[in-house]
This record gives sequence, C-alpha cells and structure tokens, in this order.
Amino acid sequence: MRLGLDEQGVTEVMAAADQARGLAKLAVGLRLDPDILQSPGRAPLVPEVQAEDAAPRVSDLFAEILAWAHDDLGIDHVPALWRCLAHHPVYFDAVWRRDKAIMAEGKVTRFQKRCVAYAVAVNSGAVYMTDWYAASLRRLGLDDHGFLEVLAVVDYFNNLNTLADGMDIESDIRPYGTYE
Amino acid sequence: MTTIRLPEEGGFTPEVEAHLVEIRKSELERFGIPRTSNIWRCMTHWAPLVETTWRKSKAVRSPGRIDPLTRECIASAVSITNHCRY
Repeated sequence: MRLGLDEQGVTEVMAAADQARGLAKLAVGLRLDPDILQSPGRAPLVPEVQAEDAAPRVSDLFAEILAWAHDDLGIDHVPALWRCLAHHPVYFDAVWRRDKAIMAEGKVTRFQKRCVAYAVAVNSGAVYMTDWYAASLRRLGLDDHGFLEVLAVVDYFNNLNTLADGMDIESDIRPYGTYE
Repeated sequence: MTTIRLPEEGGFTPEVEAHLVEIRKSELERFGIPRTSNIWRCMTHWAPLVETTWRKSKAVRSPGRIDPLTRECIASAVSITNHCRY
C-alpha cells in the first residue's frame, strides 16, 4: 500500500485507524445516537455532563472541544461522546489529547486520515462515528461521488478479505518490493 | 497451506488467462509483483469471479475525487480491522 509513504506515514495511517476504531467502540458501548448532524433520538447510557455541572478542568476541555467542533465538524455544540467521557476527567483528557494528535496534519493529510477513519467507522458498523467523520469530510469538500469512492474501497476490500480468509490464502505480497 | 488448491502459472483456461494477462500487467506496475498473486490464483477456479472482480477492481480504482494513496490507506485500514493478514 505504500505508494511513497515512509514509516511515519504508515504509522499515522495505522494510528488514525486505531483511533477511529476505539472511538467507534466507545460510541457503541455508550449507545450514542448521532448528534452531529441531527438531534439524538434517545438518551445515551450515561448522561451527558452539562457545561454548568462541569468541574473547571472539564470546562476548559469543553471550551477547547467547542472550538474544534466548530472548525472540524461545522457544529456549535460539544458532541455527546465527549460529554459522556467527561464523567471520567483523566480518561477524557487523555482520549481527547490523543485524538487531536493522531488526527492532525502530518505525513498523511487531515483529509486522508478522515477518509481512513470514516471507512473504519463504517466497517465497524458504528453509526455515531460514521456520522462524525462524514461531517468532517463534508467540511473538507468531499462530495457524493467521493463518498461512493470511499465506500467502494471498503466494499471491495471486504470482498478480498473474505476470499483471502475464507480460502486461507498465504500472503505472497512483499511490502518492500523484493521478489526473487 | 490454503483450503483450496492454487492453480499453477500456465495451467489456467484460455478464458481466465485472457483476464490474467491484464491483471498481471497491472499488479507488476502497481506492486512490482512479477507473477499472478495468490488472491487472483484462488479465484481462477471460477472464471466469472475473476472477470467480475477484476471489473470491480478497475471501477474502484478509476480516477475520481480521492487519490490512489488515500484509497490504499483506506484499503489497508479496512483489512487491519478485519484482521486480514493477506
């Protein structure tokens, strides 16, 4: 897959996939309904921490996240996922900082990372995070045709993965391009 | 060890071989693989699978809004989350 990506670039892609997968699991575990583009249909498993009830440390993070949400998702509220995590401030802080670091521009662009994250959320069956990354990609200019391109890759590689696993095909691909 | 026999190079039917000529050329250019890769060899037991998968492969890679590197990043991320070593 490398196409010129160096070790850091490959690591960034892996990290974006790992981050999207982790948040997708959290969103499923919290039974979050999407709240990025529409109002949630039901209450989450854990109540969302409201700004007025937040400890000073959590308030600071909410302010930081509000600015991020405006810029990245095009919304003016703190998404339910972050509000739920705020019940555990140390963990909340750690997840938020890791997310910010991983999804930032690097050898791999912000756009590419969000394509990866959207694909992983779709592949994990996580409606909440699918909505989240879709909003971010729309902000970055991905149109309907573009979304279908991403989904085409997800579909096609689920095809190939199923064949390769189902038939237990041995890998004969050399990542460094050395063939005898 | 695969669960099915992988046909050897040169042992394909003419119908399958016609598709493989194009597939090998593409994989040599894209990955530097000098022979038919195992994933395609496993499909050669059934010509319609090779034909329709190859058609889909080209459609998935056809030029559009996202570049080839981004597509490979997505492909890799999906395969990782599916735990597919191949």
